[in-house]
Amino acid sequence: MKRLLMLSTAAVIGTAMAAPGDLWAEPVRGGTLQVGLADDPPELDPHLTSSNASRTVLHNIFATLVEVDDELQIQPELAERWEVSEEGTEYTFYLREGVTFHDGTALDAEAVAFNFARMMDRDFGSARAGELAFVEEVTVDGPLQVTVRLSQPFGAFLPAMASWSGMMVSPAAVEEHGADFGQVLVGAGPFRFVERIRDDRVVLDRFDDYFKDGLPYLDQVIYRPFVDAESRIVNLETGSIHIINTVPGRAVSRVQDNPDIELSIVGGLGFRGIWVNTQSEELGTPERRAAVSACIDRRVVVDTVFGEAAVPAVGPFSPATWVVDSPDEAPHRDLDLSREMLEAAGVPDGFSFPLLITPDDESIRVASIYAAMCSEVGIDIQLQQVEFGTILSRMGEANYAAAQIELSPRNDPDLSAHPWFHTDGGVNFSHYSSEEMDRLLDEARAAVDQDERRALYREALEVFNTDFPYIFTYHLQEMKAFRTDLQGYRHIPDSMMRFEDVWLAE
Amino acid sequence: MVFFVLRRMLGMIPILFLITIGVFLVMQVLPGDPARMILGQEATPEALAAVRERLGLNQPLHMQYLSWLGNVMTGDLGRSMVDNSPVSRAILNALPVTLQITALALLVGLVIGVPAGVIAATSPGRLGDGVATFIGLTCISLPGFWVAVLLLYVFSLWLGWLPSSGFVRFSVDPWQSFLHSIMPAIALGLRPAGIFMRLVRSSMIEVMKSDYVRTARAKGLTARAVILRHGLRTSLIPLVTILSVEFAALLGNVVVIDTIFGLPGFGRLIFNSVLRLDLTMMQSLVLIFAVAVIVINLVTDILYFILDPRIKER
Amino acid sequence: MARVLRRMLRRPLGALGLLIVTALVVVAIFAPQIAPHDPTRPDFMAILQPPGDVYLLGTDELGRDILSRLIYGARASLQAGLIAVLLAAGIGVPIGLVSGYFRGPLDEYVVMRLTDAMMAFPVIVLALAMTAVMGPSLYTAMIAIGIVYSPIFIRLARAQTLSVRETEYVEAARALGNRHLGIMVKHVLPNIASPLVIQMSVSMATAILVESALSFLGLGVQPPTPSWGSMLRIGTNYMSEAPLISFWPGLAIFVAVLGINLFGDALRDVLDPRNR
Repeated sequence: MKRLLMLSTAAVIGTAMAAPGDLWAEPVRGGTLQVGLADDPPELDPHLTSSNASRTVLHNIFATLVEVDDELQIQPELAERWEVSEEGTEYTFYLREGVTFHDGTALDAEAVAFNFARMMDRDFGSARAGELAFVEEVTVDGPLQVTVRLSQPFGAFLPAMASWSGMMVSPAAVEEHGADFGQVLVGAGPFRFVERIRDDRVVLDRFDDYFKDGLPYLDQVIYRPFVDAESRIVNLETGSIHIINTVPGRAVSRVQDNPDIELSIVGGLGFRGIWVNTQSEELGTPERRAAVSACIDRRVVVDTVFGEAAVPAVGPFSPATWVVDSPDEAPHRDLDLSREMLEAAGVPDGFSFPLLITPDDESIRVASIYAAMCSEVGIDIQLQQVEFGTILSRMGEANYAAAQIELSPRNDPDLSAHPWFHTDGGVNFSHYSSEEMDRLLDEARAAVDQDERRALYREALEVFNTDFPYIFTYHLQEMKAFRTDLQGYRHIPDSMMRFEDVWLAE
Repeated sequence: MVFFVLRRMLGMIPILFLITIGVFLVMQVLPGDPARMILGQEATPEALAAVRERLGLNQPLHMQYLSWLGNVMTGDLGRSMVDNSPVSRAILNALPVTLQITALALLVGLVIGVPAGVIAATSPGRLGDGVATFIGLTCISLPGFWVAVLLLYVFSLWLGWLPSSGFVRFSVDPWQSFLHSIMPAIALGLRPAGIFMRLVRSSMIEVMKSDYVRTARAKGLTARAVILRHGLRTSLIPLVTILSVEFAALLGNVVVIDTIFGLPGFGRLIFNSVLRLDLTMMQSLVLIFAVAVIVINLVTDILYFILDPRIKER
Repeated sequence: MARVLRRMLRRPLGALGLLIVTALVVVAIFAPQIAPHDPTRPDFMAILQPPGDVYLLGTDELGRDILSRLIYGARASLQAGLIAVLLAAGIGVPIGLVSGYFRGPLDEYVVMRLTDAMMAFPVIVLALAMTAVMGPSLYTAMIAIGIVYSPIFIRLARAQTLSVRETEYVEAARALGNRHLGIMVKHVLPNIASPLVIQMSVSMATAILVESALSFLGLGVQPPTPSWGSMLRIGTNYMSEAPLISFWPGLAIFVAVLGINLFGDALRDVLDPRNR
């Protein structure tokens, strides 16, 4: 199994294990699905939130313009087809006929235009404004035909339309509820929003007029947050929940050995490691950062903490993307190189820096391993547990040396690199600026051909591994564990759980 | 009497002001930015500015405070900064959980503590004395979160008798609700049990030495009757007052217990709202917490006043 | 002092308390000499090992020696307890003393109301806020606990001063024209010392409990430095595989707190005149 995981396609690697019990079983209508989430979803308005805990719920309430399939290829959804102009700046969507929102409002070209206007309204403060920055205008060409014009080609535009930005909200509900839309959530997805009780549950009911005939099979979906990984797994084992959205590495074999539980593993898309402030005193030079990177044995980190749940990282692109082929490309531990780098940095005896971490078990363990590994060459890492929000704020203000926080995996290499490591990137938390990196990322963004993009990103990897604007250590595999009576589950590598076509066996 | 109560109630008002101003100032020095917390990693500067505007964070400090205070005065606790839901709804959801757990914990404390205290007071000699002290101090010294973890291990993981986390509302299923509350209640209730035991024991020893108990004994009442009719009843008075103080302490301890048992109670609400920099939620929660503690103190003071008129002018 | 100790040793429970407290102090001071291994050094080949010859109490999730971590953990707990209580008494006693000695509206309306307000302020909120400002560390936790517990000392010192200030010798000292400060330090303080000392030992036990609870929530001692509270929390993640990881640190907290409570109880018996 371990060797299999080294494969690098975005395909479902764990299919052998994840295959539904009986491929030919007839779907059954009805039943309530209990879902265990790792976090309580915060804001639920799809145009305001940036939380993945929210997004995995929202995919079942809001239908998106397009969808991604098991291999992250773009597929029709609300738009039954689309055309892209030659220079890649004009997208014309042809919408499905007869689709309505949960409140009966028609989902037509006007509604789509309304959604774009809402996301781009400066006063509204949508978290989507960043990825829609290139949108120049949206025109309604017919009742079901809408055109989006971009100021420059943007290879990640369609993937974005399969995510938050593509989630269409009901214009009538927005007009009626205004700022309270996040409390009512009217979309056109397979399930209707019923209620949410903070830190307790989110309840969805079947939408009877869903545009895909006969779907969904389930009557109700209930999401419950289990922040503690142990209780999430115990509840799955006892059957009080049917599916959980993240599996800690140390529980993998325990779940695999349970005959009532299926574990599905696919290559994950996010990257993990150490954020560094390239403007900071402690980690301001590439030599110092290279010295830290060379101390870290990525294979040991993965084996000790995650087992099969992660693979070593070479850069921001995981082996599940078409950029990187194998986790074996990851740099190896080299203490001599580290000492050489310390020498070059003018601190042969090492140096110390504070590392901000979130107060969870995995984070503490990984950081403790870094600290132990780096101490061998005299680099002293002082760990500080701080809340996620504080770390994020300090990173934004460049008021930190190093930090370790969780990122949202995105479904395209451009979204994994450009916003984070381009000088003008919206989330350039490393406060990093390199002309060469900027050029490579810009060219890759404008390129449409996948081979050309791959070549450019491979070149960028070289820069990542000399400048170290971030010390990449591992990619988490994307895992879902569910009880065998849950049937028809399709595991999409973007980690979102879609329940329109799953059912519960009797 | 009425004057005393009125004066104490008037005295509460400045305390509440102090607390709300204190919380407000504490919130201001927190380094995090709620707007960034809401928008997450991919926030643009424009979006951040818009959210700050929407939340009123760009107003001067005293204006933010006054508008919050004005809303509280009219019974509007505001809306959560994280998901824009009404704070009052979150509190109404969490309150029954915490009240049920803490009430049950106090019951555990009484059920264990009072009989143990009576037994300890009536078993004479240095050995009985030592054993009683040791047990009482043991209850007080046991860390609640350790007891919680041990109970979880034995009754959930090992024996599989009790659910390890979550909560079921009493109105939904009373039996399940009880099963979900019993371990948290024991973990929380051991400390009060120890305190009650020590209190009952010492005050009963004192009462048993008093003249009227001696008289009752002389009249030929059995030891059992003397203990129940005189000793216990008299020693319950200080117990009632300490009960209210312990209730306030329990409210503080639920933060850890909620975390361990995954209870959607007050403790989790307060902890999460700090983690998420949910300023309005925090302010209202601390206000409610403070009101609860102050009311409890007031009740205690009034009880003291009734029991001991000598403190009238203190 | 020696007399007090002797009388405490005559009580079995007092002797037990004294023994535990002494052992705790010795372990904390001589941790580097006692601990068999480096408490922060991981051994990736020996993760989650059961108790054995090399690692007497087994290893944790990173292959670190649990016994050594427990021994070093005593330092954090003891420091937290001591410094927090000294801080609380250092803030509380002077304020309570002065306030009770002079009385007046400042006492009634400012000091008393302020302590009321502080006592209604949840400890966790203050600790979280201070952590956010000062960065999480043992010192932040100690200061937060110290501040939260200072009103207890204000009230106790004030109440005791109130009863002492009317006594004859204080009146006599005043009549002799002694300065207020002199009277407070020379005549009032010694007479209110024993309840304060008793309260300090009680508060120290509570402070250790609170510090471990804060560490349990991630607000105290930072990893990889060992502390009982954080060891217990990490251990809860491995309850099904290695339940003993969370058992030991909890036991350590319990024994330490029990020892200090036994010590304090015996001290109360010996010092409190009503029990003589």
